[in-house]
Amino acid sequence: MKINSKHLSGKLHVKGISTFVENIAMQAKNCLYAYPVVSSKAKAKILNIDTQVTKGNSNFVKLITAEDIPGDNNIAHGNGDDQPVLAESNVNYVGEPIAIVVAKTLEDAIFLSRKIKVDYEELTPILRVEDAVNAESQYGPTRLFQRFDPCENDNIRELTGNLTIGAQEHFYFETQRCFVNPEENGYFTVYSSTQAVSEVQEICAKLLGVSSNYITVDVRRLGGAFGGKEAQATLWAGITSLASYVCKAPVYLALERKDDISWTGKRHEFVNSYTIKYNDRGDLLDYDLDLKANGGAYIDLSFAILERALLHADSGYYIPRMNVTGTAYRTNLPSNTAFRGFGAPQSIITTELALERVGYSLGMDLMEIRMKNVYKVGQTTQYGMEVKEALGLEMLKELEDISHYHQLKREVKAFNANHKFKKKGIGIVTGKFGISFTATFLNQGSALIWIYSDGSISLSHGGIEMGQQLYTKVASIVCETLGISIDNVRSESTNTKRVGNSSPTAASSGSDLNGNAARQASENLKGRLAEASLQFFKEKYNLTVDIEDVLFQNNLVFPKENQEKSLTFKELAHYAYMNRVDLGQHSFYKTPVIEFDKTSNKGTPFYYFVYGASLIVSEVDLLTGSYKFNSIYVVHDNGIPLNAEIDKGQIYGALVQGLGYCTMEEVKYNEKGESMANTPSTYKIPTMSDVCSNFLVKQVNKVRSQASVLGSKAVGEPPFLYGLAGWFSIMNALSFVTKSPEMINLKMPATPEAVLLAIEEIKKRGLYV
Amino acid sequence: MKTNIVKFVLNGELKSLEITPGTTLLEIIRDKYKLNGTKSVCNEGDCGACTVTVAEYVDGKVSYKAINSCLYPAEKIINKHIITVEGLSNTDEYLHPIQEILYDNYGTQCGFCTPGIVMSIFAYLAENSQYNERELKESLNGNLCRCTGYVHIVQGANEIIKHYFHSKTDLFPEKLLTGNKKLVQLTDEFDLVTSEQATNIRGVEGYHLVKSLDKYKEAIIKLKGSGTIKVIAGATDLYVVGNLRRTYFKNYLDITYIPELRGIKYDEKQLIIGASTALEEVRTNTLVNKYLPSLAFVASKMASKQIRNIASIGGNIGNASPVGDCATSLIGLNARLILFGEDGQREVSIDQFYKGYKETVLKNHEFIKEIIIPVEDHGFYNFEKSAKRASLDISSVCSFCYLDHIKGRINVSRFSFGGVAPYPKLSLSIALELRGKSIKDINIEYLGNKVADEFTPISDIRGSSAYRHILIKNHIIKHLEKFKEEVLNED
Repeated sequence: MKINSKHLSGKLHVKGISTFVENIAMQAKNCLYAYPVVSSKAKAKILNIDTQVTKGNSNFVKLITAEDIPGDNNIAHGNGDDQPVLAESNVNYVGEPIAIVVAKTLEDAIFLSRKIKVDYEELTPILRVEDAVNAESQYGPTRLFQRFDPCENDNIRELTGNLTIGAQEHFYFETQRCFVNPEENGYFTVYSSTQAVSEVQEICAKLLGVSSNYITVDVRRLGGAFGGKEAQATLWAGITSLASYVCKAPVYLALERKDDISWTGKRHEFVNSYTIKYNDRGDLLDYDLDLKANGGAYIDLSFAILERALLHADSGYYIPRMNVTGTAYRTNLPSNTAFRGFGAPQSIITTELALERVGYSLGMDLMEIRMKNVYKVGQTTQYGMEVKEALGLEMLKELEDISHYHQLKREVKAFNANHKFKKKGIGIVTGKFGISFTATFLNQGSALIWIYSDGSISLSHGGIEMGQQLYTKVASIVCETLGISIDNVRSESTNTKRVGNSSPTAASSGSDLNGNAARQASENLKGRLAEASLQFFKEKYNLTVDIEDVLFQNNLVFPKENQEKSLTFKELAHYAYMNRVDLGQHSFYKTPVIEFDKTSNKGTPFYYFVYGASLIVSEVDLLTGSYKFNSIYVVHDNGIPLNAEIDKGQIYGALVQGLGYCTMEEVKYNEKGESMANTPSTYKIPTMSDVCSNFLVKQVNKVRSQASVLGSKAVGEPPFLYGLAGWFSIMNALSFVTKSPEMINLKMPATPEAVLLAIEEIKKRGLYV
Repeated sequence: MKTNIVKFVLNGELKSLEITPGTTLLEIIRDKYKLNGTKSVCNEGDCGACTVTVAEYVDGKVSYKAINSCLYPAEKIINKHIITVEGLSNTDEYLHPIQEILYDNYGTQCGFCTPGIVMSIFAYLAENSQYNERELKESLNGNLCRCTGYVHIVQGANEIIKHYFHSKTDLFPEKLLTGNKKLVQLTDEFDLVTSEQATNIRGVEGYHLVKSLDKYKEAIIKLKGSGTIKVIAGATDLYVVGNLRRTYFKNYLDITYIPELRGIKYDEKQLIIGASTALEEVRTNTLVNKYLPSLAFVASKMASKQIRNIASIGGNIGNASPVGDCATSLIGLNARLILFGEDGQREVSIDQFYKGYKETVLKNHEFIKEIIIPVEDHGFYNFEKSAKRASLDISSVCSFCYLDHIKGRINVSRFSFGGVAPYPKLSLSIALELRGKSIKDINIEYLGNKVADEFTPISDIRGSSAYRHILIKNHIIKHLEKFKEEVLNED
């Protein structure tokens, strides 16, 4: 029985009555408010903190500094770096917390935090990758991924190039926030807007010098996260916990939008360079790629992000010889962090660019050159993983079909011939995204299900609901397994007391890990209930039924051959309870197969790949550099989706985020390391007008040999890649005004300014036609 | 009534509330009434999450507007009916059709932008009698969403207007209709609303709503000597400064409701626009669309519906932004400004209004009362705006072109630019070049370069100097190419 439920939080959302952290905080009595005093310098020694301004303010409660920390002043989560919760003597980025103001009103906390004067001895910051390279300010050694398969080397051509890829702000609507309530005996309940409850629990415990069981972390839902609350919610949870500990009171902290954008990490800026070798037929032969990631002031997740970038250096293509290097650099910016795609978009866009330039230099069709180079079954990746299911070609063919590619191409050509100041372009991107955390140990999930004696169900698992409708999907799995309707299930908040040691809800793994655990738990419960039903059928009808023949459907349980002898699921639950059957089940799931050797950089880091492809048509105004997108086509391999319409929503949302990334979203810091585009009036994300009405998403729903829970495939991150086609479509439009399209120098993101300057450069080099 | 207690209706219920000056409507809704459906997300009117609908009884009928409550001075709610997302459904189980259809179309993911979207749709349905997808989208452009990519929201919204196409029966829940009846009875006089002293850390002592020019003068006399007096209208710019920088003034003097500052008239080839007229009214007004459609177009390119519903045309001139779209266009249109202050009234040409970066000829407490725009018979008007984002963005460069011509032969011409100098400016070189010439004889490229060389734009967050330099030239090309096309079409 397939359940295609709507968003389980949806009715609450449209009414504005769903519970977020702020709603919990608002109910607290005598709640205090915390706000951090942060560094205004990118690199400096702290000389003095002047608290004069707090004098005489009756709402002021306390100023907390590192000296007040009873435990470890370190939020680094086993990554070998040290990141203080509150800076002690040195600050390493603008926005690094130095102290915490606690006040009786939020407004006083904010006012005072801004007015407290900190004296510094300023040091020279490192802001750009280039400077970090010169200063050898790097995190760990450079990593190398190599594979040399035999390939031809006669008559080969080569192209070299580089691409600097700007950072991206998450712009989750709900800013970083946390509410902490002290409980009896020195315990605390932490309501954090986090994707990683167990990490918050562990760090807060260490910070307060207590064991993990003193801290309960509870998350009902997040108002968006996109990776920005995977590692970075922890700092704010730590600060709030500390304030609650010191003041012995409930404390709430919520960042203002401008502060959130200014002080928190982004998608990594990458500075990439490459050399691609190829033959006259457009076969890619040899690829040298170097990735340099701007990691920011602390390591955060930079190692893992760099690793995923290296693992996706092939995009969707088999290139016999690959030599890929990657380094993460320490700079004096907020630590860059996870963001949907996790490093993969930065290497994929570079590789797609290299491929496009090969196509342009040979005058080849850009669809054809992709089809020519996508992986075939049995080929291996640069990290030695065999591609068992190669769907690249199928996706591209489907894309060609739904977009009427060849006709579209003719139309674009005709339009461009008739327009002097406007040009259209077609951009294509192949998506191949590896699913699993590359840190293998994280690929575990747990669920806890209670069937109460009235047949209603309480479902807990380690996954976080952040808009992706994970709770809906997992609850559907349970209901499908038990043959009951979804209103029988209550999806509980994610809570470390009910499910411990959970992995962050990240890496698109939410439904695979938690869904599989919940499916196992419900299978186990179903087994015990089925057994109980045998006794019931025997007692009531003197009917002997084989356990294999007990069916759970439509809230009923019945023998296959005697459907009329059914009992309701509720009746069976009660019967089972009365007969002392265990109606609670915890289950654990770990992803099979995967292993990865981080020294040789070889192995099978992914359980499977998600494939897809996209095509975007742009129309560029050559006089202003502005553009619009006329149509978007997507083909996405869903496997057998848990909920096709929910997945479609993920595809739409991720694509538009990717489109914003490569067009208008521009993170800027000045030479002092201060964030310049830190409000929505300066940092632009797409509006409704930026999304064209001709937006066609074709979900290919097929049984795949490589898939996860109930045949489904992950959907969170892969569709982000599809938006990158917007960037290539702009470049393609510009290709109509130059005789050397492989020489177009388009910045990433392609803001109207970047487009206009790219046109200007074509003119200056005498290549404009 | 020398008190800061205001009466208003909230989701159908009559309320009487003492307001701390310097407070926003969003704070009132969330902190005083604990209605948390309305979200606080950006606090600068750029995301729409705090959207509520404001109903007002004007000229015998109730009007509805979507506004950003984060920028709405709380005192402005006097005699109004504030409708939040909680006002749409009576019980926990009941979903308003807007909510039902949005939910049904998967139009919500994380849920944080959703209440704002619901309220923008509600306001659109309530304020109009006929619906179309284009205007609906226009109403939703000020509502950002980071999760959905908008497709499911648009799908739902379009279905909603179909649902309401024939009748509005279930649009207004009973309690809102009751609330509107209470609204009609609210007749409190606007007056000085003031506190004796600041009661919170923001240090604001008074917010004064005046309803006549005399009251304005009275207020100035009364308040002089008690710290700064900031004259405001829509406050969409000034309240951002409060929200983001925590910079406040001792006293705010709100002149929005002075009758002489409101409305749009046409008289003897002149459009006369009251300075506190909202930009949305400029966009939709019949007279503007008849006589100066280009100005309606300018307004349509500005901000969002929620902002345009509050922001005034005078404010766009008076705040002296170097890149105000209206201000720039009005220079091209050769507008004149009527200024009003303690010493009475005077007139200046908008050319002469700006003195430097964020500097105008306005004296202390003086304000713009009216804008007078000549309307010519043989005019070609065109506005160009270049910004990072196609909508809801501040220009990098904007420009306005006015050409008085007979069959393509140009007499007078005015090209004004925003974003290229410390304040919006007229190009001085081009008019002489064009005078007496036919469009066919003009070297457009040459002219573009010439105008570009006239300005030395700076680099800032909205664009580099090099980018702006090219834009000046290319805007000239765009204006003249469009003009050429129009002339050729006429031939």
